[in-house]
Amino acid sequence: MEISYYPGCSLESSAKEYQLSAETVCEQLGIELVEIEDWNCCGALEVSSLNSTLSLALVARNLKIASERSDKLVVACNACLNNLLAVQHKLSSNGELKQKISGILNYEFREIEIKHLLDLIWNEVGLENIGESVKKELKGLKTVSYYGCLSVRPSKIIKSDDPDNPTHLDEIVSILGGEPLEFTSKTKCCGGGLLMTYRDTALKLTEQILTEAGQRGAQCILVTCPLCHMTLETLTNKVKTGPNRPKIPILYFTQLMGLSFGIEPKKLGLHKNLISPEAVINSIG
Amino acid sequence: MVNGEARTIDLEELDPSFKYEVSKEIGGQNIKLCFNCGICTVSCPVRRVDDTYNPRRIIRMVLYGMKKEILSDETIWKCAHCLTCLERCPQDVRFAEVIEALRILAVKEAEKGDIKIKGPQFRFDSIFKDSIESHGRVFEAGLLSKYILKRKDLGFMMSFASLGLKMFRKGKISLFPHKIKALNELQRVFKDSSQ
Repeated sequence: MEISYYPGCSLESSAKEYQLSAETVCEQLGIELVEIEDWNCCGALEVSSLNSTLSLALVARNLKIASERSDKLVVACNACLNNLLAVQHKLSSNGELKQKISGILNYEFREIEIKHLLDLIWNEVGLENIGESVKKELKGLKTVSYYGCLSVRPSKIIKSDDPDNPTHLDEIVSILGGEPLEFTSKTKCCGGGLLMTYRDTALKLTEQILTEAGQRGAQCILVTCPLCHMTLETLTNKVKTGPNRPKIPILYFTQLMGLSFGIEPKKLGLHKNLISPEAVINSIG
Repeated sequence: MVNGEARTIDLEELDPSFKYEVSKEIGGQNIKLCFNCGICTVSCPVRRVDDTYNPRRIIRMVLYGMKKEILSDETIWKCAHCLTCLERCPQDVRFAEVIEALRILAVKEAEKGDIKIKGPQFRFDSIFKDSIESHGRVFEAGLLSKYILKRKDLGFMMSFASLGLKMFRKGKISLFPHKIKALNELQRVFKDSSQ
């Protein structure tokens, strides 16, 4: 199955391991991710505070490119996903805005189906097919699934399985032979948007998430977003976790899937994680 | 309380039309629907760790017409955009979008010289936007080095220098920007969107 794909800027640099593992795992599952032609940055969380027309137009240019190619678009980054869905919703529900943005971009707006990579894998590949690709069972590896904010809220426009306690990722981990743990921080905010500006706030929010993961005995935190990954990884060192508590490796969900598919760690970019995933790799054997 | 100081509201200083100004901005449309239940504030993660930040208070200030005071208040730049308020508000006020409308109005007032924007977020956002305008995609290394230099904080600089080095060794930093092919077209979109 070939599918249009919007990776987002982070996957070209700071989140290369996400790009590598997403492509490799999808290939294994029979999905070919085809990047849409010449996409641009969606503006992330930054442009909407400066110029609302521009923040719509930047996202809409990507919608335009995607809709010219296909009826469907898969997105790897939670923030990009949120922007694409929010802007599509604004354009389809507000005729005046639609006209304005269509004029700027010379774009005949039409709605397309936009989903997160996790959603694509759970819904369209399905647990059964995922299970068939498993070569190395995770041997009860204890994981927590951290979704963050932007792939579950607002639930009116983002159709996840549950905005407070989504379970698709846990279900995938179970199929891989791991043990997903209860995790009340699943959809709490890590403060990623404030990482460069109000770091103390981000640190306090991240601390709550990492502390719960530690208390529950997680051997691995799974994420679906490059901004969450960056925030949790870089702030791990700053969190006071007690003298003997090891740092918990933070993996993209595609990296863990790849390991259980028997794919070589390097192909999954595991050498690029800032917190060594050695313990996870060794526990799977 | 902003920075711990409560004071009497001076009716003479209020601008009763301010709420209409906010509701004309994209994202600000529903501000007048607020019935002051405060769920935005009790569910806000930033509020939990920083008590200078109070979504309900910000909404009240807008509705009372405390224009200058709220637009020059640093707290409007502290939202982490987690959208919990937007999810839970029973009146669909969409506070996370209201805050964007307020920031946009603050930028306009600052351009006129009527207020001064406080805190680092505006600077970060501006450098981020410039990076997209120059390349089409964000050039992380360029963006961060520019921002860190402008912040002029040695401790901050050092902590990012060591992180930057670590990421460079891991091959996670691109040294050159990726310029999109249709950069001219995109730059025209920037221009047309600013009119």
